[in-house]
Amino acid sequence: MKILAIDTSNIPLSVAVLEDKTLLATMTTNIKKNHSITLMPAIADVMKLAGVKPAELDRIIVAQGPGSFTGLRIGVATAKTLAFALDCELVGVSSLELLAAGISDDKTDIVPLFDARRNHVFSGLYRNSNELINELPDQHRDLVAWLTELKERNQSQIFVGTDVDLFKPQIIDILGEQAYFPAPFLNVPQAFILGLIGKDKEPVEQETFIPNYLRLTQAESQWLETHSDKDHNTYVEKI
Amino acid sequence: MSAEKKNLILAFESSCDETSVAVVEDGHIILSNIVATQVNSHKRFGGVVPEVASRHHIEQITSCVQDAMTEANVSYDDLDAVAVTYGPGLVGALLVGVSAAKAIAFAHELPLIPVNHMAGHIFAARYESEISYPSMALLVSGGHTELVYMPEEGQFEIIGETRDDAAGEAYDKVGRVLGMTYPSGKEIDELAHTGKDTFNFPRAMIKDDNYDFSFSGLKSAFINTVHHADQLGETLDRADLATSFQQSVVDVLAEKTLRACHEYDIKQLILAGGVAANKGLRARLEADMEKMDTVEFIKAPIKLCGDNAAMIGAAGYVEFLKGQRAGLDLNADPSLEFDWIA
Amino acid sequence: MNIEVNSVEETQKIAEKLGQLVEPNMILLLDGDLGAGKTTFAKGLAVGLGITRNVKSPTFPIVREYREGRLSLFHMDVYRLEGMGGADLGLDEYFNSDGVSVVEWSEFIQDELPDDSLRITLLKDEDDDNRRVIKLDSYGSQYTRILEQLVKKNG
Repeated sequence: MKILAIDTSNIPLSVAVLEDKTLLATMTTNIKKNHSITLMPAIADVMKLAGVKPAELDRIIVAQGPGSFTGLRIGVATAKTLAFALDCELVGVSSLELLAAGISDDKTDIVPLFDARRNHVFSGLYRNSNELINELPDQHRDLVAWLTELKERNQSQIFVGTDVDLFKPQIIDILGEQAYFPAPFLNVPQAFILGLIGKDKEPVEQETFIPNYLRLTQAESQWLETHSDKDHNTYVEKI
Repeated sequence: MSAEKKNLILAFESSCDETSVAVVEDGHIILSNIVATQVNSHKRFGGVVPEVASRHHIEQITSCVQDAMTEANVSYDDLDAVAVTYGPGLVGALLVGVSAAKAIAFAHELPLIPVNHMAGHIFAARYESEISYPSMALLVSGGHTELVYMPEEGQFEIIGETRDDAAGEAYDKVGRVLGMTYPSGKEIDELAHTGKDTFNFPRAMIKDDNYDFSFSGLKSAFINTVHHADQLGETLDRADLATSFQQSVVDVLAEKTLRACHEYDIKQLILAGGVAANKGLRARLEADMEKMDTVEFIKAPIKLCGDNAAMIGAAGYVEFLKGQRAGLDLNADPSLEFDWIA
Repeated sequence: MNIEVNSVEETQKIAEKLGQLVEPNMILLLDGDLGAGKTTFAKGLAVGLGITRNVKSPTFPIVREYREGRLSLFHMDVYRLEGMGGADLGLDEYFNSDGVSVVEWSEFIQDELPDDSLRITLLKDEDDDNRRVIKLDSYGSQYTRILEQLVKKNG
């Protein structure tokens, strides 16, 4: 099975081509450059290096969120349209699960985490014993509330992600010695790992595939405070 | 390329609140033009909310491609190029169309044609008539009001534009004062046909020796008039307000456009953009242009005045023939503009 | 600090002087009713920054960028976001840049705004449509300093 894996959920960008479990080629960047400029050329380059033609792809795997809304949309729009145009399988994988999968320590909780501004984070809780298990679902949380909840588990916990540094003082303040931090290279998501996770997942329906934003738009959530989500006309109409 | 060879372009448009994909033959025959409009969603908020728009675009994009290809009854092998709006517009919205267009171009090794959304609006007129150069276009929409001179095919030069608010924006702001729901252009247009121009609002810059417009003063005058009446406990006639407002907008647009038509040696005047669907504006320019027998007047078809991908396909075809190509690093440019005439 | 002005031109002159004084990374909040002259003020500011391009209303695109002046100008209008907030707009990128951000209708995105800023409120006169009071409030020492300089400059 020839696989293309793509992650553009946050500042890092990672693209990989796999043949089943084997990595053929990959590229990862961690620069503040617009993914819309970088992604498609990166895909073309990595596929060329791997010697895989677009029509040969069997499956496209994309990090589906959470993350930066714009970043997610670039990755998902690209993956979904590619899969549609090539008539191949499409798979979405949690962007947090991708980071958690890099940690192989089976004795500890794994807490991948992205900055969601205003001291909120996107985070979830995973454990990795033989296979990766999602114990607490990916969520959009106030950092202090999240850390307080984690504290009660009384487990050693490893925090992973490029944004972890930003919150390190608060993490240590609340969790003390319960908190661990991985070797720095594990903080950057790798599309190779994404390919390994996504290769065994069920393909999704392409047409309805969208990012997992994990947060309503502010406009939408404020509107819902005063309106019911039912009894309205279809929001999008084809004319 | 043999003479009989038809060129098929798959075109994308996602700059604001419509997701649209079209298949266009030789730049002037629509094989399909799928438009998924989000207006019902944004109505809730009184205007287009960027993040909401982007989310709807990504929900719709491949389904629109599917429908466009099916309705046109074509396969990827039949296509000659992919054209896409890359600006101006809302950056997040543009990025969905740009990403999808790049994906298809890459997947099927098709040339990628970058299209300026405003050129698209002008080329909506191509479905009405062939365009002969030099030509002039009056472009009026929610975000733009400009006179564009086209010395030859594929060349666009702004000779004048709004100094402040776009005409469509003035309609929406005034509509809000009148308690109308967004978008209010159509409602004001209809109301304007039932009243009289009694308020005599200012016609800003109408006599100025340039082709620029200004609608901010008109908006303020309108608001002040309504506000002062409110203070005195008076209720003004809504129809007369609408008529007076529209008359002021139409007067300025028509007068300056006509002057441009006289002063430039042109063969055609093209009316395009969302506000080009305004009946008052269409009728006025039609009447005025009848007196100018050297210049042909072309209006974009009403159903192609709003945002759609067929117009992008028409503009993209011109760029395609010129050999204009984008790389896979094409980015959205939310502030894209035509050049100003030197 | 309040400044009374009697015409569009006077508003633009004040704004132009302010434009000559503003520093990188500054945020100016521009409030006032529809038609109070917010875009007029922004135009004057642009002139003061050495921007020659026409500054148009950013209501439709929400942000317009002008990069040709002494400092970049990011002109924002969040009028369309009343009651919705601006959490999803990514305005931080502008606020944290080296340019000058001008936000019209800033009350609609209060939660997104940094603590320090200069608030400019344009108040219409009930009796005279041409007259305005320009109210300038500084939050943060660097903005207080700018205001002091503006007073000197304005004579």
